[in-house]
Amino acid sequence: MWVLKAIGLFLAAAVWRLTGSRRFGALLIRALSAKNENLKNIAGILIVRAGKSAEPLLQDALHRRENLPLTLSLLADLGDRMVEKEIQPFSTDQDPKVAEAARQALRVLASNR
Amino acid sequence: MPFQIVREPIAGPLSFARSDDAAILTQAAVLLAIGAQLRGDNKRFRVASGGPAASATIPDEELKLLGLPPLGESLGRIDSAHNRQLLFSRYKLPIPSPAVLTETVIEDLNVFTGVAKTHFTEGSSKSAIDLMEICLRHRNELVRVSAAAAYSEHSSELDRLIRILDAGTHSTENLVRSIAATALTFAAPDNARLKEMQGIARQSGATGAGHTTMLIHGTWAQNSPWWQPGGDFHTYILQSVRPDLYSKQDRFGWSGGYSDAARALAASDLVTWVQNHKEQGLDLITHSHGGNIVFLATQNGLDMGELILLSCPVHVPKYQPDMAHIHKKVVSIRVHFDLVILADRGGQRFNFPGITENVLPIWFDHFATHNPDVWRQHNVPAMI
Repeated sequence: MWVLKAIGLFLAAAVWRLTGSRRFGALLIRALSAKNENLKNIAGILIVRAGKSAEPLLQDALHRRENLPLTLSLLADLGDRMVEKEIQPFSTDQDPKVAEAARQALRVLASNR
Repeated sequence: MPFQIVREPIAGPLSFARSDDAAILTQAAVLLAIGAQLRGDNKRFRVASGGPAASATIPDEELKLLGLPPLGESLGRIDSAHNRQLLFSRYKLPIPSPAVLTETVIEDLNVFTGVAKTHFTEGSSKSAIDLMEICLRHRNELVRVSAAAAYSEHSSELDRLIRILDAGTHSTENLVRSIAATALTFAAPDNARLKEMQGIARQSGATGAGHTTMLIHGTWAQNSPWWQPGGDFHTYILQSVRPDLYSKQDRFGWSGGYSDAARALAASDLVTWVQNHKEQGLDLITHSHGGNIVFLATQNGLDMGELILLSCPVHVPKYQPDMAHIHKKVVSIRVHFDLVILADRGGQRFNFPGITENVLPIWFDHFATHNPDVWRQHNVPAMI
């Protein structure tokens, strides 16, 4: 049942915050590909709430093109302008949804200035 | 003339010695924050959301930026006439007759600075009340209106404050009108001026295309099919609930980002979209943070009809509607103990004048509220 998995995500986020262990952060990253929208959203919110510590995990996911375009949006949601240059190449991606998400992500980052 | 953008407020009581835009806006912020402190808004919000300081109505770091001392909750109304007599005696000001209470403007900024200094030093509910009381006679209307808004739950002279707020709704300055109208919805929800304002705005909204409904998605749903033409929820609403549902491909969409910046950008884009499409007065059905985007858009001047909020996380006052711009009802539909809202650290229910809550007999599922089967099974169309 998805509710049990959701509780697992809350626990993983708490342990990640307490221990800093990337393994628990990776569990949340993996949940971004869940079919259940609740799990996907909960994982996304917990990742953004983890802040800077989520950045390397998302960058890895971006390099592997995992969960695009969501990963692009999450990187922008962290608000760190340093990721702009990593997002930039995706703005001309062949997949129009990825390209649009990258453009939107860059726009959000720019509006943060 | 709109106020200039303030990059940083003026900390401490010094703002009360000045009359430039930054000082006036800071004074207004100080007064409204004091009102919230005395109401115990932060404490109540933390209890309701189970959240930490970061999710308070006014974050602690922002109170620190203003230099405001902490202030405990103070319930009940004080005897304003008696308090005013003591305060005015202290500053050797003419004491107005209680029978004809006219708000004579106090020109001497030293009086305001003195009262503010006392509050920033003492940080007591008494010093807070004094500051609100004296600012009702400030030369600037934003300061007067903010003082009346803050004082409205603590003063024994509510009628007097309503008069100041009512006058504020006639201001040429949008910010003053918004604060005055919002405060009036709390202090005097049946106030005739509020109804009049809604009437005026309704007429101007009616110049648009008229009857249009549009769906607005929530976080990370920009590519989800449910809200787009041809999607299951869009099709259901169009065929069974709102035949006027906007179905062209140039419908409004936003980044779906999970940040204040993404939502602010979306709100601004929504206002532009409505203006460009001449759809002022349209009805909106929103999911999740899509509702908060509409709240922000109403604060940016979006005139709209009905607002239907599906599973909207409550982040009042960061995101709250400007009811003067919503000309029909606001209905919220949600489930019990929404887990996505829990992760978001939002409140699970609105306790806001003018928003009707409907909680479906469903638990946990944030997305159930845009499921056509749920709408059919629980007769949601009858709620809106």
